[in-house]
Amino acid sequence: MTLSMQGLAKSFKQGDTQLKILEDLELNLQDGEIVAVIGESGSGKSTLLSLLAGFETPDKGSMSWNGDVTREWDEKRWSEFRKRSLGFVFQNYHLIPYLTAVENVGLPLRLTGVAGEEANAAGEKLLRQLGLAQRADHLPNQMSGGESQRVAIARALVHKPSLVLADEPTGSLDARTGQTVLDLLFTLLTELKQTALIVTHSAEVAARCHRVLTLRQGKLWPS
Amino acid sequence: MAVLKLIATSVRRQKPLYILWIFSLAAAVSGLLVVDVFRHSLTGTLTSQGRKILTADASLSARRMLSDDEVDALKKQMPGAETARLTEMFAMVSAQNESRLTLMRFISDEYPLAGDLTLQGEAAPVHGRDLGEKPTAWAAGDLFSLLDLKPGASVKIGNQEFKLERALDKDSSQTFRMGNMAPRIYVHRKYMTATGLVQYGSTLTDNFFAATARPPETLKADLEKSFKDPGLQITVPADLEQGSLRLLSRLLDYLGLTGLVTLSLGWIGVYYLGRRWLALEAKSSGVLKCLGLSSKELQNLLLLKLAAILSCGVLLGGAIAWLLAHGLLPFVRDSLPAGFQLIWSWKNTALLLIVGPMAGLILLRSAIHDLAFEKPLDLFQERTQSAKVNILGVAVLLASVAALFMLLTFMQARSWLVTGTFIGALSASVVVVAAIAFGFIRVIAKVRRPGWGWQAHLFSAQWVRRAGTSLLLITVSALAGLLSQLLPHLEKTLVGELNSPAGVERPALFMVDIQDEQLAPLKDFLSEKGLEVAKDAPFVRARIISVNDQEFERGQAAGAMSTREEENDARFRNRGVNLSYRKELSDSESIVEGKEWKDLTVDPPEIAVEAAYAKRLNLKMNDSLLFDVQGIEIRAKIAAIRKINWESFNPNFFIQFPDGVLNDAPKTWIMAVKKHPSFTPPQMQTLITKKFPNVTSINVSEALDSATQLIGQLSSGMKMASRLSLGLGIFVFLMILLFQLISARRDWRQLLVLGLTARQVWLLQVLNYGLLCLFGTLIGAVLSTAVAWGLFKFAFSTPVTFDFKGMAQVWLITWVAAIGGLAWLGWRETRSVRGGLSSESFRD
Ligand SMILES: Nc1ncnc2c1ncn2[C@@H]1O[C@H](COP(=O)(O)OP(=O)(O)OP(=O)(O)O)[C@@H](O)[C@H]1O
Ligand SMILES: [Mg+2]
Repeated sequence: MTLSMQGLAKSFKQGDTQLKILEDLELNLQDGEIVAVIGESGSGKSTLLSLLAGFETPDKGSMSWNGDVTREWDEKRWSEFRKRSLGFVFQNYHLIPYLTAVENVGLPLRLTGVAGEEANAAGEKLLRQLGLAQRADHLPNQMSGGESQRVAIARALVHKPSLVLADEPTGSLDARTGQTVLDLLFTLLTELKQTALIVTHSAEVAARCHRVLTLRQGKLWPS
Repeated sequence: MAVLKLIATSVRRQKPLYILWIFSLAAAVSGLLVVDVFRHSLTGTLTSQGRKILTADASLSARRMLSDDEVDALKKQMPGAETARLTEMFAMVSAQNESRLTLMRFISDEYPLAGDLTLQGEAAPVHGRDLGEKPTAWAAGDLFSLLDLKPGASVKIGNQEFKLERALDKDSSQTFRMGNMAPRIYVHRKYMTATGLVQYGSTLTDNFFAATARPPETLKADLEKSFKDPGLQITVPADLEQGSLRLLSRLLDYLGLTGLVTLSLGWIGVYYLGRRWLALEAKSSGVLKCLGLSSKELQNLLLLKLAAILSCGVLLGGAIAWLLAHGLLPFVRDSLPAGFQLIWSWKNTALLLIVGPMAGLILLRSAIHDLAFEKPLDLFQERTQSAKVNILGVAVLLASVAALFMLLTFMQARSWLVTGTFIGALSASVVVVAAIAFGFIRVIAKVRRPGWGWQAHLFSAQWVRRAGTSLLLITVSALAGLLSQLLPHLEKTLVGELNSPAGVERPALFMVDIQDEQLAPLKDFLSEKGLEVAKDAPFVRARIISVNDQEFERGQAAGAMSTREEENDARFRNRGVNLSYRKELSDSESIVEGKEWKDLTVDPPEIAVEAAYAKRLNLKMNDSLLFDVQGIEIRAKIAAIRKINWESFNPNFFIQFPDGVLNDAPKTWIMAVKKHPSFTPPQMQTLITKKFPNVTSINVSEALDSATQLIGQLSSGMKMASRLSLGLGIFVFLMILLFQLISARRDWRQLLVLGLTARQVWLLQVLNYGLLCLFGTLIGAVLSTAVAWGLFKFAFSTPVTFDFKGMAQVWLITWVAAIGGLAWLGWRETRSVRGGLSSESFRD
């Protein structure tokens, strides 16, 4: 897997003024590395992730995925990309409320055509690794925040995506729970040799990553 | 003040929700209000015009000539009152080569005592005395064109020649513009004998009018005390309302029920939007509670807000109703009585305006309570509609809504029977639908397997785990389907009841007033001309003196609160009764209870009574009836109950004697003549009238056609009302779907994030909700058939005529509209979710 972004720019219109968020941004990700992105609130970290996932289109610059220039992708290609190659972890867990834990975890596999029983088995296995075996048949509203986030992590990893995107994965959790969740996340990422881009405010999280980038004035700076 | 500001702000934030909410309530209320205004105005117009229509303050009338004693008695009752007399009957008028059925009115000098009767080209009103000394006649303009005559032409009425002097212009005693099959013709009563039309037993109405200053409330009661004969009818202006409204009252019944259907659909919409509102309210409620608002205060705040919104809705509804009523008026004026004016009944309007929001408050009260008393932290949680159902709470809620609805239904139908059946059927339907839906969800939960494809996996999970929502959606679509698919059945049955059925061979002419001694010559004459008699029957006038030796009293309408059933009975009882006799049963009647026809004995006579008539007058088998047949008392026993197929156009009677009892009684004959290839009915009429001037013949198809025309107008009114109601139904349906889509926005967005394309998500939405609604409307279709059957069987006691084609059409329209709307809404929704992916996925 290789991902590179060159000369990327993104701005938003706010009334009459043009808000320049990202400008001439460069990013290269190697297979298997875990990169942290830090930066002040409002610096554009989430915007960067949106561009990566194809939720936003850049104003300028180019992004390539395994040598494939994404500018030429249509919606279908993007959706294929998200389905097979990306895994998401959000700050607010975002589980589907009417699916049980195991069903939530199995969903990405099902969407790529894996049979239901197989998907559930894979989900159960992953949940067991995350210490949630008892919670497999619970619905999201019956689980605590930490548990939900662990389910979300399992869902982001179950289909072995090429790249995991995480936006403040412990932002909504108290310190201790956050710690546990983080431990699990890093254990899994390392074990599966996952490439990951983690946006965070936490120095602790950053410290555990292979590389830390700071987003400032629209650009990523190594630190 | 702060509270109002808070409300205003939240309203501004959620504009579409509030607009839709207010609009569905407004639509619901306005439909019913418009119907109510029209009903009230009709009654009001006819009452205020009653004096003009009656042409006097009171009338004494009978279906026979009034006796001198009776007239004198009335004069004595009202000393000094002005009086006038009118004898009215159908009769044939012939010009050179043609004859026409007309409504003959033999008037006295003073007629009319009130109201306008004017001639064309002359503003001043005329009276009987203006007819002058010579035999002159005034006729409705129609007659001139029908007979191709000019003013001044001469016509023959019975045995007397009249000069048709002028055409009538205004005649305020004529209430409806349409549906009069026989043009009116006025002549002076001094020529009545000369025409020879009034013979023994002629079908006529004799009226004696009085103009008096006595208060109308007591007048009628006083008069009824002195005139006990049930064959005498006393009419005051206020009575005219009911009589002339009979056709329209059927229409208004229907419109009333349609209005109720609309209101219930509106309530469903209001409830649904209310639930959505509460879901949105949860977060800010949590904040308010954290800021120190008590649960009670929060509840009051929410109730206040709800009341404010609902009030806006009903006020808007009132305004829409006002515009609608005034806008519709020009289109429907032709089917309304002359001089119709829109009158706003403020009492009814106020009632509706209060009841409208009340239902909303009742429906949403417990949900508000739950929200207000919830722990503040729970309010910040994602709210998913809880599936737990408080049975008692639901029962109380349904009961209060049912009570409210009952009140409204009664207001509309003025009949407990209709009300009870309608409400009962609806409540039963809700229970049935909920049970089926519940069963459906349980079954899905049972059969759900991991092996299913991911689409089925997602649907079934959603249906089962959000059981509350699914239940509500199925129930609502079933109810909406039930109510809208009920309309074609109602329409077809009611219109069918008004209309004559196709496929029955109608006779060409129907003749009445054939004198006993004319029967044989008339038959000879007809067969000489090659005309064939379809049926004939003797016709004996009588009245019932007693039933089982209990005096058969004049039924008295019990004042203002009387229901229509009571009014009908009273009207029925007041009439005399026509008897007939025959040797054998005609092919259009059958015995349903009691003896076979051929076994009826002659001494003491055993009679057969028509079933519906017996039911109305509460007559049973073996009752002993005492009749007054022209002064001779005859006792008879009910030995059989008959059913008559009235659509056969045969001469039929409510009470049939066996042959041999009444044969010598004074009588006339009625007769139906078959169609003939070489004569048109008017030609037959002309032939017969030339030879038998006193015999009245009715051109059956013409009479039916003019009735059909009126009925056509009425049924187009019904259709329009159904369309409006259906439109609202679809609207409510889509509202529910829209808010369903919006509530589940986050879930749909996740699917996009997980890699589904917008098109896939959209298809999922359409299928997910579409299938639930399909299931619901199918249950609704079955139930609407059942409800229609029950409603007519128990409330209207007429067999229902199912309109399955219409039902399928409505279903298809609803379905196409719903799926089309759903597809459109879903597409917009996925687009907007898609557009908001970046900002919302990573940021909230
Ligand atoms: N769709 C949008 N329209 C307009 N402005 C936007 C949009 N999305 C982001 N912005 C603006 O872009 C800037 C960067 O937003 P972004 O969410 O990327 O910041 P962030 O670095 O993730 O901040 P935080 O650490 O607080 O999450 C903000 O000022 C935000 O207001
Ligand atoms: Mg962010």
